Amino acid sequence: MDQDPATPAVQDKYYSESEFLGQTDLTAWDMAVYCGSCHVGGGFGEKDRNGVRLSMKNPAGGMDPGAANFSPTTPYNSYNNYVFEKFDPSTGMPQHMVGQAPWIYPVYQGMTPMTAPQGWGQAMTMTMPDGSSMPVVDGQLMMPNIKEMDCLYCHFKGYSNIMNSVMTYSGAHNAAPMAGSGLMDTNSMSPTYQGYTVDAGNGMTVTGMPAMVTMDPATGVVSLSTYALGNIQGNPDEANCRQCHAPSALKDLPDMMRDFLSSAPMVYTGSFAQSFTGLSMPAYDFNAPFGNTWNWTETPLGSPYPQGLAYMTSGIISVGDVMTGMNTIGGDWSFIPSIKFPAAMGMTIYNAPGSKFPYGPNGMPSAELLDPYDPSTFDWTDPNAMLILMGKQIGGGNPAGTGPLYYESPLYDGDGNPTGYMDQMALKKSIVPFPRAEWFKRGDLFGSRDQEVHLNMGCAGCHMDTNTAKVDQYDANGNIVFDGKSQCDPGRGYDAASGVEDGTTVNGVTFDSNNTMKKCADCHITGKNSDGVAINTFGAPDPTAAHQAAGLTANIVQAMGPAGTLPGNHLDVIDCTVCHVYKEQMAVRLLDSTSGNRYPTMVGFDETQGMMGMFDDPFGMGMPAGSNATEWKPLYAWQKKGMSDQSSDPNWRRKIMQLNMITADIWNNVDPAIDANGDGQTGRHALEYDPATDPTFDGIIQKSYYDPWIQRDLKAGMNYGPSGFAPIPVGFGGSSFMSAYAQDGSFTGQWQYVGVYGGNVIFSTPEEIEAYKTFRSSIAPAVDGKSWDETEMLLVGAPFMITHNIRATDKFVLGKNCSDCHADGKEFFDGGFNMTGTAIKANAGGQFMASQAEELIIVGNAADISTGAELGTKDGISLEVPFEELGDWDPATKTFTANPAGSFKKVADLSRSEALYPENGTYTTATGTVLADRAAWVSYLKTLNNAAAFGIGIDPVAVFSAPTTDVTVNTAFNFVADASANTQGTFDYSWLINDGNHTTLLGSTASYTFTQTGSYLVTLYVKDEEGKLASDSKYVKVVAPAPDTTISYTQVAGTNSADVTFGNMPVHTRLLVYWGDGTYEWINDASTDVSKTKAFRAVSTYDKGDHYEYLTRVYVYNGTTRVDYKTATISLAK
Amino acid sequence: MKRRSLKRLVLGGALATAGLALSASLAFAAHPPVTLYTFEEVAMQYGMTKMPVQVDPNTLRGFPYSPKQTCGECHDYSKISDHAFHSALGMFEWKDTADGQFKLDDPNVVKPWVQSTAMYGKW
Repeated sequence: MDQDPATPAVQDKYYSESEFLGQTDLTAWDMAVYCGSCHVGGGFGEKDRNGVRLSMKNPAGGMDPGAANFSPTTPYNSYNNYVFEKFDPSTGMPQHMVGQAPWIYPVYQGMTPMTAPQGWGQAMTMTMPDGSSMPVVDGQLMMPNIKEMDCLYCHFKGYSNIMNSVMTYSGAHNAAPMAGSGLMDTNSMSPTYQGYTVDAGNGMTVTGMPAMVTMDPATGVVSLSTYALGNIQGNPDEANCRQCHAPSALKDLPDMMRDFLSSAPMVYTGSFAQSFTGLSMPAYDFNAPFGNTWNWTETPLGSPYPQGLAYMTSGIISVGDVMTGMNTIGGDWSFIPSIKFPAAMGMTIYNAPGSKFPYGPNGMPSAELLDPYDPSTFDWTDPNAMLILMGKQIGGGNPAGTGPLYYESPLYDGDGNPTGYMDQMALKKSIVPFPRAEWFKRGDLFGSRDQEVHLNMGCAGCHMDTNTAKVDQYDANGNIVFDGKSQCDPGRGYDAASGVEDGTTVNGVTFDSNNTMKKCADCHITGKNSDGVAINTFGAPDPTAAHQAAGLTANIVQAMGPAGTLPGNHLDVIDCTVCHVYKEQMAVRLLDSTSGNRYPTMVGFDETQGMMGMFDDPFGMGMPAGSNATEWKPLYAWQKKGMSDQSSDPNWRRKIMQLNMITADIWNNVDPAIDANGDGQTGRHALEYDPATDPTFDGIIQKSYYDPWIQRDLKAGMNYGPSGFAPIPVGFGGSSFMSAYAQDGSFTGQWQYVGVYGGNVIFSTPEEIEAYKTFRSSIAPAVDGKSWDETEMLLVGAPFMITHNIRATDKFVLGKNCSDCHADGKEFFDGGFNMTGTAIKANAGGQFMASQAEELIIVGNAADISTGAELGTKDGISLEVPFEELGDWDPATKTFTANPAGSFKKVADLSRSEALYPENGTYTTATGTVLADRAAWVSYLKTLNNAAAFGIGIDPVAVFSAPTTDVTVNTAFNFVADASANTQGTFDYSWLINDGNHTTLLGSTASYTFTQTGSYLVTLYVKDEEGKLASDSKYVKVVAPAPDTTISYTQVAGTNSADVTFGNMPVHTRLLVYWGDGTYEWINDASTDVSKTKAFRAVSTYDKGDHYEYLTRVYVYNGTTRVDYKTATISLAK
Repeated sequence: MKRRSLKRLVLGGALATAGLALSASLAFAAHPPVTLYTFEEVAMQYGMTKMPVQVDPNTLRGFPYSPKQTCGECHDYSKISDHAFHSALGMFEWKDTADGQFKLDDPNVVKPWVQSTAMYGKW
């Protein structure tokens, strides 16, 4: 895109044709057509970055605000134009051209241009990509064809994303909302085809379908019918969310359309009469993969035609369904109401009248060989011949193994005879149907409460009405300043591995809609969302007691805090989903993007059944949903950011999450002299940190740089063929690796593997990779002139957080025992995580549909393969962890043998220990022991499976001895707990002094000074790692110091007198003082301290030369009892 | 406020009229009446600000309806479209330079196709 709102003076950038072809991959038109096949519209499908509607930019409309930058030599920009992918039908070599995006087009009534009073049409001729012309006359009505946000996509119960995507892929953006919502009659056999579904008077259309609109008979103005209004929902119906995000199962082939795909399969027909892209729905026959199936038109015909199930592939599509469809008003006899599609549709090369197509050159069987209703033997004397023929024209009766989808586009010679080759243009431009997103990324399936315990709450339970405070905020001028959860947004989760709207500020606006949904703890523990706002928790049970019982709340681990580790419990470091999610369903593991399309490899299905193992109930035998699913263990890794949990600190409680890694398998240029994709960035090798300068990382951390080849040019190098599920790459060049399939559909043995999903070839051997690089360089002059000599196969693991498929705890839960994770072989701290998925071994003579799947092994020359899984350390450092090993390769047996000095590289399992702890430095245990490296650390972790050793299940003991004597006031005293009573676990000691100030002291030994006499209760508390508390209380008597009379004095200056004080005396009533100079006296004074000024006798008896000295004695009496006695020598200077 | 009151009256009237024929759940779920409007560009070419969809009584065909013109009659379509995650998909989070070039000098540009923190440019 060429505009930046911050610099409004900068408008569209225009390019020459060569610049445009060399730099452009996805234009706005491509986004609207291809991204828009699943998305709801708006954004770049509707307008440019300056807010100009794309329908008002098109030069054909004469309203292009950006045209000021236009020049005859640089006429193209990425809004008005796109690259029309074009390939030579025979060779497959590229002949791409720049097309004009039909954001607006002239309207015709029949063959007559429709004009409008102020029609924007200007006399000209618009040329379609196939060379056909579309003349425009002055004043002709120009119809906008942009992809506005389709509100009903989410808010209309019963909306069909598949029908929307058919229109979108066809480039009919203005009709997509009508088709998806059912406002338009999309049944090609209906008399009101492409009209509005108007109420015929009984709430139904003329064809007997629910009417979506009512028409004012006087004006023809239409409004939504009562039925349609009733289907509008504020919070989207669960099915609306599911139709893009998550299927419930993949039961059988009709289920693909009904409940698995998020966009339609499309075949390129080259006809632009009904489609701006030349794409249309392919013919299909859901019965075709399974044996010699019946032509369903015969079932209701009766004898002599065979009776039985018309659709043995589905329990849903029954004879009754067929009859219902046939009996609908208007002869809508091909329609199956329960799935909104016919079970078979479109004439195929196998059952078309007069078909002469003998072979599928790239592996598909011939019609004549397998079709029991071969047109050459068609019995025209049959009284039902016409009905049978009609049945063929709408599909059905196709030979086994040919469908269910038909992408065939055979090339014919000048006489109309098939050449034995497929039209490469048609196949390369056809669309591989795309599954629903969350299944694709995370393997999410929700078909029953066994798969997801929250099933009854639906998507809205967690994603709607979340009361988040992170909503859009605008300034006083109405300009947005914070772009958070907007109106119509469901609450988003928080994939900590993702950078989606994570607080990035662009042009002064912060974008952050992360973490606006309800998380597990929000409902189950706090009752508040991440902003601290109360939410509807649906009465979620509090699991704390169960967690405590399992020791999971014991503070025995190193949790992550703002400044590093701090004591915490397992719930501080393990996300809820880690223990409560169980994955026993099919998921994508590798996304093969080496051929210009994307083909998944998968795990979690019955590999022994090969492709058929993807389906739960392919033969309609009534197997329960999920019966073909198998368990796969997620990858456990530290998330890069915390979940916030009502804390603004992003590091707070950063946890271990469980992930599905999807490995993107791409061709990446690393030649610094070549810019593969025309973005100005040349190739670069991955940056590997040098252990010498980054010893912490030990060379394991790398950063990949990407210079991927443009996808359409990747198609240029491959030979494409049809399969029953998708157009697929079958090989390249004309020799050793031309095709994995022979003409009879069996494997040639040229390739090692084909994909389970569609039979596509997968690069997996050094020979395949090297030969393809050589081939690519050889065809460079016909493509883009760029060498592939330094192109590598880059396998990048992208993490997707797993948060769905919570199982009931009576079915599955981890953490009841330490050894669920902390033990050998548990695949938590150890073992490997498969990064390649499964594939079908393409052994010569084998059949795709009849072959088992197995783990995909990818090996190449060491220089041809790079790997890196995007992960994070416990400290939150982002990094890439390679998953590869060096070794030797035997090309004869196609076997790999590990050898650190080998020159070949195998894509290995990702080490789970490396994924959790990528750094290979030292690790310190919670108790302070330093371990040398990761291996030692992981070994240590796996030993921590004795809960009692950590004190779990063992109660703390609080014991301390009371002072054996009274405590003296104003004197420090040590309280000492008996720590020997607590030996297993970790313990916190505290003391509560009931001194009126609630003084609390910490530590097993604590010192305290009482400042007042009295009796005080002292309580010792001992809390262990589980939070259990024990206490011991004792009274402490604080007393004054024992009496001990003192005698002190101060000489009165210049005299032989002194001020004498008798202090600290016990309770008394009087004193008897012998002054030591021959005099004495009684002093009646009960004060503790008594002072007296005494004039001593200065006589020779006491003369000591320079001073006089007197031995003074005091007798302290309480009544008649002497309670103390003291003497002191008083020395007075002369 | 006047507008809201009018809507309530219309809704109430519709329910009163149709209520007997509707199930209870349908009646409570009903959205206010919605007239379909075609695209603004079509209306402009007919000299109108808004143009309802009219259909041929025989073929039932008519101009396509515009979600913006139809739903936007009551809802703030532009605000929703520009900022709701499902529709905007990163339109205003684009992080290129003013002339449309990538930030080539940034050593952290390792995925040059990712120019937004939302879904356009990702998958």
